[in-house]
Amino acid sequence: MNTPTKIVFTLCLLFGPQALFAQQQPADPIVTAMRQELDRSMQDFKKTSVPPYFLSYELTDNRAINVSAAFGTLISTSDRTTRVLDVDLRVGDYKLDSTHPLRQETFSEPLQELEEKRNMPLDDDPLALKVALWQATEGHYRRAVERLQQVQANVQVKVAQEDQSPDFSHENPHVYSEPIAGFSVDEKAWEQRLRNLTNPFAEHKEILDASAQLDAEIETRRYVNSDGTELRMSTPFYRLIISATAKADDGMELPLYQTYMSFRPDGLPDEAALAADVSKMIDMLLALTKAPLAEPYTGPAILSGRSSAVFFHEIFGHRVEGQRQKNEDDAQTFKRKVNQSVLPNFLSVYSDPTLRQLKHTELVGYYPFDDEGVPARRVTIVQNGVLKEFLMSRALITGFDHSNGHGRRQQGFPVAARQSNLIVESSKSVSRGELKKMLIEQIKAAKKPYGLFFDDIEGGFTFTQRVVPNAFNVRPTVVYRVYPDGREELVRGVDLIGTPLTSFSKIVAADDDVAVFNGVCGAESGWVPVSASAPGMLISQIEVQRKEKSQERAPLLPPPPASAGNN
Amino acid sequence: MRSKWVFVAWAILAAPLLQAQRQEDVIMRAMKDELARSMSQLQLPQMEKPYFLAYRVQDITQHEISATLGSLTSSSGPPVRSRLIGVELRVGDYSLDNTNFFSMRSFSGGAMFGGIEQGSLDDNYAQIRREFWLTTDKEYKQALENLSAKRAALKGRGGNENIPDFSKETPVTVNEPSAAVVTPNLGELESTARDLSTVFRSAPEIDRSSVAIRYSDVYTRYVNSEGTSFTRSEPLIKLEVTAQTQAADGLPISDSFEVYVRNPAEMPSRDALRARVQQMSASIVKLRSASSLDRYNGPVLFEGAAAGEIFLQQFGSRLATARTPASDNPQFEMVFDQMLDRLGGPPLQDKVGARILPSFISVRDNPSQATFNGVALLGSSPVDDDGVKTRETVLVDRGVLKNLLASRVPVRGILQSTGSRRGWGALPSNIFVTSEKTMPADELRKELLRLAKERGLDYALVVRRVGAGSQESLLEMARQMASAQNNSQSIPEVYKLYSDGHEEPLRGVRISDLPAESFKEIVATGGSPVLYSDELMPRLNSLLSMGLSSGGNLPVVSCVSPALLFEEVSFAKSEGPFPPTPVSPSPLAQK
Repeated sequence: MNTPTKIVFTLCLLFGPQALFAQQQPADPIVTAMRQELDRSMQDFKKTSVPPYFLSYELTDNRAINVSAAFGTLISTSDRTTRVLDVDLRVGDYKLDSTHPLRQETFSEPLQELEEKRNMPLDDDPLALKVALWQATEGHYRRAVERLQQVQANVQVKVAQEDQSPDFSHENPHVYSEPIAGFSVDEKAWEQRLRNLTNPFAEHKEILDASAQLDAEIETRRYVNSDGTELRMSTPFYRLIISATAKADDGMELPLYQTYMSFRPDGLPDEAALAADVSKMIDMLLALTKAPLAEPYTGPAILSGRSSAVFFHEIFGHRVEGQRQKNEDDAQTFKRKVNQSVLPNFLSVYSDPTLRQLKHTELVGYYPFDDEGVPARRVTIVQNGVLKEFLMSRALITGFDHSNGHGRRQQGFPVAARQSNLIVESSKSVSRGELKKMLIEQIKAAKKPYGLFFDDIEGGFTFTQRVVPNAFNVRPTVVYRVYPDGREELVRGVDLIGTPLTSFSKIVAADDDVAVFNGVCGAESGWVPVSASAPGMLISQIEVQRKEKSQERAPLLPPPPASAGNN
Repeated sequence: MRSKWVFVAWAILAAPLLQAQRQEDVIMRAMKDELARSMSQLQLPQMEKPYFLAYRVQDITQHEISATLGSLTSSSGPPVRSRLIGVELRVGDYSLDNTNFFSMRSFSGGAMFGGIEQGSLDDNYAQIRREFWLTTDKEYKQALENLSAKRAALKGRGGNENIPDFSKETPVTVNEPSAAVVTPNLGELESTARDLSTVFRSAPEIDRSSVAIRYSDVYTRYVNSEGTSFTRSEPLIKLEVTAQTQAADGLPISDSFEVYVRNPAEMPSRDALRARVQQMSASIVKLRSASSLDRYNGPVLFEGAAAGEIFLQQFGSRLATARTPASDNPQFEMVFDQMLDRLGGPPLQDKVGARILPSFISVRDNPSQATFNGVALLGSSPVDDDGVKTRETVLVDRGVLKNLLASRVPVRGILQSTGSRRGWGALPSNIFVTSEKTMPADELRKELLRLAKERGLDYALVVRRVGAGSQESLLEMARQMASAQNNSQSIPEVYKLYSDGHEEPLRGVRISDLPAESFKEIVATGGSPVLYSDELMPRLNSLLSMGLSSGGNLPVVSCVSPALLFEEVSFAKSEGPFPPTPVSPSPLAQK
């Protein structure tokens, strides 16, 4: 009788409060304080001879829990909360402003700016926050005025720059607010889990380095600017990296990495699944130490979906980031290639920050607004082989007069156009088995003794241990020789050479085995979460050489005994 | 007969103790076992074995809190624990080994940061040994390379002085339990930081301010191949209050004070600290409108903590020896020496036997004295970082420099350690400046005024805090670079003292010249010495000759000194250009 009402009532209970919450969230006192101080500054600066034409504050709250273990023991565990301020204050005008790149400028951030970014009040006290905003704004204003003078002189003195496009785009204001996301990490459980996971590595004397690291973060970004934009976004983020390095008898170091990322605490694989991966890693490391050394080789090869994804991110994706078409110091590979063919016509490439998942896999390059307050949107970079659009921040380049929502940064870094979720699609796909058959045909046609299969490669975003971002580098970690009879043989010490970019024109086919790689990518605007997905690909010609091996020989003494009393 | 009984009794008593210790500290056991294995077995065919090996494990607990205007700006959450393992390995022999050498070709030498690694936090025997195994292996190979490069570089060089590379010292065993001191209540520290920083909310004239508290405890385990082993706990709480602003003409004005204690119970009361912050805040506000002076040459009294401060700035790290590494590029040695002289003042080792202070002043270093006037000293320790027993050293006897403080790295004329290694080099522990010519405070001021009058001056200067106003210390410079914002190079507390006894604060004044020689012209001292403590950096030479094999905090040195009356010090006005003043008033000024 009253069942329908009951259901409706239950539905209300389930959805009602949340819907209500989303609509009528109380004003965020921090955003309000930011808005008030921003407006006051813009007003007060009007009386100066060089008033700012644009001002934005981005305040990033970050709580990071990190746990790391090596060989079954805990290495470190920490729980840190930071609040970092990024100010974008511009004097001059949209066409030419104080941020204009200076030619022959060596980058150096004023120490003062570093100081202003840190030391933000963590307690939600509007007055203390306003004082910190005031200090930073005054400092930024002084430096902006000084820099504008340098910019104007630089523009006068140097030959006219090729790309005369404006320094900053006009964009519409947006107001958007997300509830503060939940965040849960059981540190003690993870400490034990990472001990358990890394323990098996200790049983193998060939493995000299093995660790696992959990990085769990929740980032809440608040953004206001003088266009009227006001945003609050809150995203948790869980990442696990397992890395291990074995050393062959001849001293060659053989690294392997596994990374897992999710927006949900339960989105990482369970311990049993991880342990299975560790056991596969160990088998692979041991096999690698015994594998024959690669020979220099030029010929056909298959990149697995995972390798293709990393390859496209590193070699292709970074080159379609907008500012690289403008900076006079950059290679500007694709600058004049818009509407021209840059890839085989069966391939299309998108960057889509609005996607949260692809099939069942989460994509960590998701965000609703970028770090300049511009809404994220899907960008068609390449359609059927033809270059269409670059990834754009509000810094403009010839032919593009708006941002497409790809201005990104790690808190504390200047914004740059960066990748989000890079998706490589093929309009004609064959099965994995078919692709291998095609490879064998190519090997026979080219009269090669074997072809190569790149099962895994490492790039700037497959792991984070590398201190200096070296974004365009890819290093194969798991490579097989494929013989004409179909036999596969693991080899070690493969190094890609030549200009890997030319490999793109030599892609002859793709398979239907699409792999997603989630990672964190480091470049000039810091580390940002990104994903890349691609099918496996057959490349008609690739060139490799033998990797330089470490000059360090293996340890002189055998590993010490595991317990006291048997020295 | 009797000695036999004693021996048996000792054995009975000691056995369970030894047993207990062995079972308790699996880390020490792992260190000793791996060290023994390395010493007996580690050898590349046809190459030398190590002749000396030391292992160090440092368990570091750290918690950093900072606040501004009543709000926390950082708090590291639960204290961060880390463990560092350090390896010092020497091949060759005491007279010539792989250290005290820096290669310009490979940019390596000493131990150059190589011997220090992050270790596992778990007390896991196997993992600790594994970490030492791999680090020792790396250090051994590096040491062999360095030794052959050093031998090649020194070959055919004339005028070698043949100073040994490492001194022989008596082995000792010292055991301090871990966590000997109560860990502070972190909530309490946070509340202190918030509370003290709130004082500045009522000072809109002050542009920025902060209160930072750092708690750390470093528990060190050390063992070496000569039979020395020690454990030591070094807790430290540092409270630092800083404030900065600008005068109307843009002159940067800043002040700060630090409090160092080993034990939370020694921290001054919240009320006392608040009063001190209030006083600092008020004096900065007053300084904004204070007068300045163009220059001053005349008698100056360093009073209270300023006496110890100026003494440490001038002599602190220079009372310790430091060896400049040999190099494969002799030019480098020269340039390096010159650079270091400019940074930290020329070394004093050639001045031993010379008079450097007036004959009524003596100076000694005493790491075994624990307190002064009931306040704990910061440099006290039973052993130094080389595991050498610490002891009192007379540095200056009636004005004449007698000795310098040394680590186990000898320099010309000073071949033995004084038990003074702190961190990467030798440093003082607790310095005591004593005087045989003291005057009560009021007489000292009368003397100051009399000297001024002789010079035809109607006032004299009194300094109560030096701060960054004299750029004598490298650390002071580094600090200034690190904190960047509006940092003033002025003396935070200097006063004009007039003959009627009244004082006027001065702003924008710095010491333009205070050479070491001026200390010889100290005319008198006060009667009641005051304690001043500060972080000090060992001289940089040591870093390149020996490398960094231990982590932790910068060493804190205590200095007890009476007020010092100088016959002559030169002061000058701080020079611009000063940064522009803010366009907008502080939000604190808005009601």
